[in-house]
Amino acid sequence: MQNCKEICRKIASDEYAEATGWERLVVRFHLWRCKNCRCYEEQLRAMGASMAQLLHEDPPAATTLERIERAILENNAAGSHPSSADPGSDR
Amino acid sequence: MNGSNTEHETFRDPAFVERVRSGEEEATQALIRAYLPQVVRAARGAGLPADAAEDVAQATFLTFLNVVKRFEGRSHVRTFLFGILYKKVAEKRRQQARERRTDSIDDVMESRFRPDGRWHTPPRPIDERFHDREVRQQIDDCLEALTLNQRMAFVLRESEGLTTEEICKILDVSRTNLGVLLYRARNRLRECLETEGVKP
Repeated sequence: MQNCKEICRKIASDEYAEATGWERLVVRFHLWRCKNCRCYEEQLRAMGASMAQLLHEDPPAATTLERIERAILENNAAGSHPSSADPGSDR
Repeated sequence: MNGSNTEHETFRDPAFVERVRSGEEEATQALIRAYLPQVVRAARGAGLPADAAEDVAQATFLTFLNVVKRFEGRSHVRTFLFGILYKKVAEKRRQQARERRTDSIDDVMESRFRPDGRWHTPPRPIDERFHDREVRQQIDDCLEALTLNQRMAFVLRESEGLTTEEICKILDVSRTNLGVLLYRARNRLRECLETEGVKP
């Protein structure tokens, strides 16, 4: 039987979200029985949802996006690139 | 949320990547339109104010277009783009680049459990106000306590819904490391919110 600490680690690290079969069932069974871990899991979910909402509720204006798009295309055509850290390749 | 799934699949096509690489404006524009809002949002999620986020987004695309010749098509263009964004944000914030081996949040989590692994200080029941705008502002403040890679991992997962595989490539970490980043980000945030009295 896995303890609360281990269950919480699996939830917070997304191990639970990606688990299948028996592994997933073990966590679900624990959550069904344990009020505290259930509360913890709900909090993490609510936190994630609030975070997504926070970033989506105030999107940049269409005019701003158009301005950036124009700037990118113009600068790119002019061949002027900002100096930057080496972005590497797509390993 | 992001460019539609069909678009996302189109951009996987080597023929499309080749069009961008050869500097075709129409293809470049399609790519910008599909991902610019997402890139700006992620930059803001990483802790940059709106104007800085817009600058970084612009610089990210310019660097992308500059180095797209080196893009070998092994990962999706979006993954490549976000990898550049991550480096740009790091540059901008000049924050500690390396993830620390230990983190004080690990001790906080330790103290929450008994030696047998059962809860010592259980979480308090969730507050209904959790969904209020005011609380979301609190989250924004609490996010300041996160390191950049913890924050990026959390934002890319929760707000952009990227897969584990894609986030690992963007942040250049293993699956296990990503788990640690998410674990620390979420617990740090949760502890901060609880301390701030969001969940009485």
